[in-house]
Formats: sequence, C-alpha cells, structure tokens
Amino acid sequence: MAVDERVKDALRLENLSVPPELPVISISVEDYVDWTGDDALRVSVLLSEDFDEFKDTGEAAIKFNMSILDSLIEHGIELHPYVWFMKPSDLLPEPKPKRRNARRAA
Amino acid sequence: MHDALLEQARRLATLDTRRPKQVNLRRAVSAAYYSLFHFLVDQSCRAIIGAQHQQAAYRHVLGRAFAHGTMKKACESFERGRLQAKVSKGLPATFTVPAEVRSLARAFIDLQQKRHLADYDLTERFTRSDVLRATQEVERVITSFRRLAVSNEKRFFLACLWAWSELERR
Repeated sequence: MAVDERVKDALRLENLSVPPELPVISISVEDYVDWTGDDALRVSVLLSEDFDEFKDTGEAAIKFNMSILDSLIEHGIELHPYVWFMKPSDLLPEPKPKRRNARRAA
Repeated sequence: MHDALLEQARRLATLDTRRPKQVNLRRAVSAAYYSLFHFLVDQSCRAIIGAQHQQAAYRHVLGRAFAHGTMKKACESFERGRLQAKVSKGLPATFTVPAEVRSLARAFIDLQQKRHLADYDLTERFTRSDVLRATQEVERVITSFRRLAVSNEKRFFLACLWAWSELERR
C-alpha cells in the first residue's frame, strides 16, 4: 500500500530539524505493523559513511527522532515512527560464511 | 541492574572488530531494551512504594506486575505530549508532559519493537550504526530523566506505566 502523502510530506528533510552533527543523506518511509499489531511507520535514515558511531553521543539522534515525531503530529499523523539508522556500507550484502572443514572436491 | 545491562549492550555491539556478528548485535539490542525496561520499572516502583532500602522487597515484588504491552501503550500517549481525554480528565489544566518524558517514551517504544525483532525475527538485519546509536540513546534518555526534578507530571508518568490499562478503560 502506498504511504500516505501527508506522511511523505511530514518526513521531507526540509520539514525536519536535522542537527548539524548528524550527516543525514536521505530518509525513506514505509507502512509498518509492530509486534502488538498496531499500524506504524518504518523510517530508514541513511547517514554519511563518515559518521563515526563510536564517537556519537546519541544526543543528535534523539533530537532528530523527536523532530520526526513532531512533524508527523503537526501533519495529523498519529502513527509511531520506528526509526532505523544506517550507513551505505550497512546495506552491502553479507559475505558468505567460509565453510569449515570443507572436503576438497574429488 | 540497568547499568550492567547497558554496559553489556555496549560490549556486545563493539565485540567484533570488523564486521559485527548478527548474534552479538541482536543480544546487544535486547540488553539495551531491558536496561531501559528495568530502569523504568525500578523508578516506577520507587514512586509507588518508596525509595528506602528496607522497601526493596516490596518494590521487587511489585516490579513483577509490569507488562511490556501496557508500558508501550502508556508511552504512546506520553511521547505525543498529550493524553487522551478519558485519561487526562480531572488533571490540572496546566498539565504538560516534560520533554525528557517524551523522548524517553519514544525511545522505549522504538527499542521494544527492535528487541522483539532481535529475539524472534531472523529476516531482520541489524547494523552496528543503529545498535550503537540505540545504546547511546538509552544512556541519554535515562540521564535526562534522572536529572528531571521530581514533579507530579513525572510521578504520574511512572504510575501510568503500571496502571495504564485500567485508566484507559474507565
């Protein structure tokens, strides 16, 4: 099902307050159902590869998450936005695990 | 308890030097969620029973009554900053949800879902960026909540985590 236009509008980057220390490249959203069966939104936030998660304090992400929530409320959306952060390298396919004790083909 | 769980989450998320193992990230998510869960249960029991050392046994027994789903429902209202009329009926007109409560409630809902996926959904892939960010968020929201001065609004939120289902029904 297509995401509500109001949701898309609410989550346009220009409608959100992006803290300067959080290098957001793009944001995407899809309809979602959580573990309790409630309708919700799944929001994926792509960060620049330069973002150092080891030095991150979490403060910027909290501000950004609240900005997402507030923008949805302002647009009349009551759904909870579940937010996932990722970097381009996180989207690469998993390498296949090496087989242990693999017998050499005859 | 919650401090140790958060430390465990951090250690698991950073255990693998290169590509992190999914199993470690999943356990990290679970530990981070339970850190926040036990923090809230403890705070709530302190608000209801009392914070003295000799009251610990009563707090621990009451703590068994908290339900994840009920806490989520309460947090959904508090994160929006306004409670539905049937719950807020009778509260002072000046009642507002502190920003610290809103961000903690938001983080709780978010992490509860991720904990569920981490423990039960093998199709979900976790990233170190997201897991580390989640642990940092838990630490931040707990610190902010602790710094928030005791108020009727804060105590009411903590009581709602336990009593929400009944309040919503009336």
